[in-house]
Amino acid sequence: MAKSDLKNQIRRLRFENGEMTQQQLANKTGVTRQTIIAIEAGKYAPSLPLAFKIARTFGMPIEDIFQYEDEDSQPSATSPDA
Amino acid sequence: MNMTQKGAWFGIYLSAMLVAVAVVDLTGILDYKGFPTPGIIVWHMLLAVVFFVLPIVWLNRSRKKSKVELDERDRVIIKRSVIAASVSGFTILCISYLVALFLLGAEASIKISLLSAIIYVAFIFFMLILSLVVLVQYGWGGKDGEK
Repeated sequence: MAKSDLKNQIRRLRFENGEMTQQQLANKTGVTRQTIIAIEAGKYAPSLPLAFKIARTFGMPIEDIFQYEDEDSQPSATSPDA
Repeated sequence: MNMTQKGAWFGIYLSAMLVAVAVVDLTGILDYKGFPTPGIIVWHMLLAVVFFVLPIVWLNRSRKKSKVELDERDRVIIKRSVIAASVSGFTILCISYLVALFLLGAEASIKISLLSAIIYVAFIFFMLILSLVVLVQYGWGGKDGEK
């Protein structure tokens, strides 16, 4: 699948939350581990419900986990990368 | 490799088997002369069980029922593949129609068996394209389906 412009902090957050495995995150959000792998790698942009599930799993606002970037815009101010 | 990928590989296998059946029937490798029609039908049903039903049973047995098998990403991949395969199958039917129209003319007629063969080929194309597009989107089944 095409690489999306959606950056995310899932990998970092997993390690900060007790070194949560991809399978554990997948189980908590009701998807397969492959989908978590694809999201982390930026190969798949999750649906809004799934993005909210991931955000609630980490107990953070959705924009702290996902940042949309395109040619015309700067990275989000809430992004840890900014 | 998840169930969708396994299903796609099975689709390729099934397409290959359908092509093999067509080749055997068209070339007459197996001579059925002298065999009663019910016997030939039973023989084909036996082949169908061995080559089609048993692999499906094996696929179902290998499922891990506790895990999520199909999620939103899989559905997106399947949806795209079905669209691509439907367009391919429809294109084959349209090309067949146009070739027949220009070669034979609008007033010509064809045998029902030839019509069946055209639908058979379109079905094989549908299944093959469906399987290939699924596998391409997963990355040909690299480690855990991701490269």
